[in-house]
Amino acid sequence: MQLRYDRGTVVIERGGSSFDPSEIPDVVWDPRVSAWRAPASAHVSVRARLADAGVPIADAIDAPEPTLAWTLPELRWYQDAALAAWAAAGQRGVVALPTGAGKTLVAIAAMARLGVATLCLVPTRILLDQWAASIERCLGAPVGRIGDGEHRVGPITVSTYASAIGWAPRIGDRFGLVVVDEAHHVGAECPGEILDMLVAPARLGLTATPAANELIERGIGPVVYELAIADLVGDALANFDLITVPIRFTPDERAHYTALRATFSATYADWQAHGGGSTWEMFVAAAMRSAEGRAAIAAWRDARALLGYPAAKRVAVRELLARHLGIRTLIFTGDNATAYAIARELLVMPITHEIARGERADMLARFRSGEAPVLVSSQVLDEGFDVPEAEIAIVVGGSASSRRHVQRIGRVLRPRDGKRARVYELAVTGTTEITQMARRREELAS
Amino acid sequence: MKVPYRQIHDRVEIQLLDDRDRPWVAGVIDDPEAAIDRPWRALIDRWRTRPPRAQHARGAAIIAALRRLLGKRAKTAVMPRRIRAHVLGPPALDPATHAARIADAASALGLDPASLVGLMWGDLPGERLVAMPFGRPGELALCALANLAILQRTLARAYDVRISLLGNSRDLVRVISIEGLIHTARHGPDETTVLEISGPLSVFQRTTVYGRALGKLVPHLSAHPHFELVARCDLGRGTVVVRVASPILLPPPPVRPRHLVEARLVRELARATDEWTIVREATPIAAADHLVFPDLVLVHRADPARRWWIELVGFWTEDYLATKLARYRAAGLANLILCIAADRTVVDVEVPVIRYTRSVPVDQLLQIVRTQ
Repeated sequence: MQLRYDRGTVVIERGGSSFDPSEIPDVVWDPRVSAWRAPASAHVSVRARLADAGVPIADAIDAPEPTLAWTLPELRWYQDAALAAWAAAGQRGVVALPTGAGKTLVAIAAMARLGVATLCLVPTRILLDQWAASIERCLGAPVGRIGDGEHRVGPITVSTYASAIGWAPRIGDRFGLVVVDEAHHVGAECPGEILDMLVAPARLGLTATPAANELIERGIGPVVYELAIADLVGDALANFDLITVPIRFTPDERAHYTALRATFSATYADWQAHGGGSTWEMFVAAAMRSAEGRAAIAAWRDARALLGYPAAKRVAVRELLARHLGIRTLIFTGDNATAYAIARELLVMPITHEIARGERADMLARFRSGEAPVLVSSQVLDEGFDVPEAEIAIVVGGSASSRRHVQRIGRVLRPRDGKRARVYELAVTGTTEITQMARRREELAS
Repeated sequence: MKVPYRQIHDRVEIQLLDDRDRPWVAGVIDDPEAAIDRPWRALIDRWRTRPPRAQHARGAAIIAALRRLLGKRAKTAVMPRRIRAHVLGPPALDPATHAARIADAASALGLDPASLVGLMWGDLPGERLVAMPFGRPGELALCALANLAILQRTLARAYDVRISLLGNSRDLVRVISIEGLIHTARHGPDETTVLEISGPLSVFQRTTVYGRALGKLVPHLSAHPHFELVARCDLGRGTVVVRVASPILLPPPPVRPRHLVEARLVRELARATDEWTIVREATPIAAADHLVFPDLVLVHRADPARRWWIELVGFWTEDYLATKLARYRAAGLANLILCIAADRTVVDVEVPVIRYTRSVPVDQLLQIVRTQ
């Protein structure tokens, strides 16, 4: 039988054999082209099953094994252990290490040990730059890049998830290893179909916040090694203090917030009482069909906006910046509008996905040099952003997600001699922010 | 964006926009008109809290069309970026420091402080100011743009699509060929051409890219006064059949699609020889119950009976090629040359095959047509 790669799939042509590959899982007959077809990710299993059945195979799929000279720093104990666990699991699986613990180095060591062409998938353009730079430091040669206006494929290639969607059908047969950074995004920002379109038999996922997800399990593998922040604080991560800053609404803000919540709660309670459904998405879909529902959603949004940056948070941010003047500080907000509001008021640099690559690079360079020691962002700084110099984090607002919170805290935990990081959480008393904060802390401790 | 549709049993009606929607669409256009010189994020917030008075998915389609039409990125981001590089830095914690920083930057850049503040975020989509540089958009033009997006979204959720056309189907077949869509063509009733195309939800074509490629056919439909599109789709509640027929509001058709490899081949052939006439828009040829669309026909100038049909083959398997060759044979066309991309595996067929990377090697092609 003949196997060849075609746009994210393996096409299996009869080639004179009488064996019926439909018995192999994932293989289906494609009547449009009179051949069998399987997702590219099933290439190894298809090949193995055909070989087991004694079917002669002419396989045109052959990922290159380039000769590359790697120079790696010494791995820490847990990086070695993670790599060993991954190898023992058949070179498929997710390594979960806290932010700042050096997950990228685990991946680079895997690339060096396997010696195969590798595709690294990363969620953002900032991480594309960062990964390319990290690999190039160990490789001493430029790597391929797909995303942020570039499309250059090399033996080691880094791609954003978004660009990989378009490119995977064209290059999915060129790699023996795929590395997925922030692997908890598989199935959401990183569609599972990307992983289906790659033949790479070896798969390594990296995350600080592992998630139970069937798509991750199928596309990459199970969690094979896991450590939490508490396991590495004082060792591979800086010590830190988590400080709550209680915020009080002004009387006007309180009255407005109470009215908005009342408008929302009345409709929401009514919907629940009538057995509306179990998810927030179902509520929103139902609410948008009536004037009352739309008013409730509007009130919910306005209440969130009010919580995002009330007068007392403005004051608190100024006070905290004044207290830590000159120290590298990251400010996290709930949305871009608040990030820009803070940037306008304090003339500090916002990092959002709307800021172009060149300007972002300039901003990060100025931050690292200390010339501009404060960055404000709603999401871009949440994941993978590498600034060991950052010591202070001010969480002005954000989601209830403990996963996102762990990522944010991790930004200031990259170790440095004598460093003790501080994370300030601003939360308005008597609002949902307090309960959300308590829940995040519980999950952080566990 | 969701596809607006109404379902009665297994029959689905896509709720495209038309002349009857003008009143509420005009109301939506009033919003950016009233928000001129205010940031886009304020307008988007307004639409979030006070959506258009229409079915949610149709309202969302019109808003998306308006944002595409008016909300394009600023042409130059240089000045805002220069301003930010001058102004942003260590936190300005008191009003005096803030004002001084703005004044210094304004002076360095030759601007007055108020203009500098106004320009500082002018390149960012949400912070850019709403403007209507070409005047107020027409309601019907907006409906046409929204319909285009709705149909493209529908096709992105299709298992298979059948398009019946009256008149010249060449351009549509060209787009299909350029985009590498899997299709067959045949004559239909009443002199129509019927194109049957695989959708992104058919066997392992569940890719965003394929869906996007299929969507590229929609703008070209507006060049056809009579067409019918029937698609088997999954719009979220199981498989349904969608039927859309002309006349519908769509933007004017785009310029003719260009097949780069074919264009290069024609150019290089014309440069290399004047023995042969190159026919680019050959009439589709009936082969039993199907149609074949050769990309080029070479006709010998001195002996017009000597003809070669050339086809650039994208997707293929042995069986697929065998079927194609059988159709050419059924049409009585023996002089066929297949040009197959070099990254595909080698094929063993009874007609001449030329492998190419970026362009088809003209010398090889001429050697075949001259010697055989």
